[in-house]
Amino acid sequence: MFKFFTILFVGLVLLGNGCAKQAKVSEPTAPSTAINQPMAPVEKTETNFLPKPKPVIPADTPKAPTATVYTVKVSNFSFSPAKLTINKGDKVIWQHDDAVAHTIVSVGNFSSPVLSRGDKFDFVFNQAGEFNYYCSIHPSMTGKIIVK
Amino acid sequence: MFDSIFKRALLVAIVTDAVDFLFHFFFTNPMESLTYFVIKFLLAFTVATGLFSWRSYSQRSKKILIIFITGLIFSTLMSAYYRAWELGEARVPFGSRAPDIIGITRYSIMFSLVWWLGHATFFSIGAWLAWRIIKQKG
Repeated sequence: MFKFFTILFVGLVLLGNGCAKQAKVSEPTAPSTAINQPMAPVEKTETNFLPKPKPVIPADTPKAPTATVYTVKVSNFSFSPAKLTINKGDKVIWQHDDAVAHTIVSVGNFSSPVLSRGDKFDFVFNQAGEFNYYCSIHPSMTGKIIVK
Repeated sequence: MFDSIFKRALLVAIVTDAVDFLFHFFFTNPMESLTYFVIKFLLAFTVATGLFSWRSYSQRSKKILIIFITGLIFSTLMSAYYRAWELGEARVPFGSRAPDIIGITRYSIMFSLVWWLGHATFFSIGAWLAWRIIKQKG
């Protein structure tokens, strides 16, 4: 009798475990938070087989100097200023403001037409040096442009 | 070494240029060029040579008047040269070559008269001095 109940007891126990396991399997399991967490960023370790090209920073290219415009006034039988120092590439404008006609002449360099009041004559000095000029009508009217 | 006509003419040219230079220096702007004074010297010398070579000159009583008329001829020739230069060579407006005279409006009758009579006077001063200082021989 005792054996019968022992075997019966063991059988029930085994049977109960099996059912419990099955119940565990079939039961929808809650998602594991550990699994579904976004992965922590993985630090990339680059292996530079070739040196990374450095960004090319354009060097400061020297800007072309802007030409300056100078004005020489022609009045009262004189040039004002009579002596002017400028840089290569600058322009000089002679503004005639006298009662009589004048010219602007630099032998071998430039020669203006006969200028009357209100007329202008200009010249761009692209070469360095000293340029003496005068009025061909009134030779005592002289001036000088120094080009650096 | 040199005859009296040459000496007188030379003195006339020197005095004409000297007085003219002083006039330009004090009363006009701008100062004239060296070429201008050289031309004036040569013209004054030439005209004075003609004056003192004129045989009738020494016989005339109104020498001072003759001298001044000769001065006007000299001044006219000088003006004619520069007007011809303006129109014929430089192609610039008539009268533009002449410097300003202080106190006188340009392109007025007075402006022209001062230049014409002034140059004649300068020559006359030289000729009168030459006549008084250098005695003509023969």
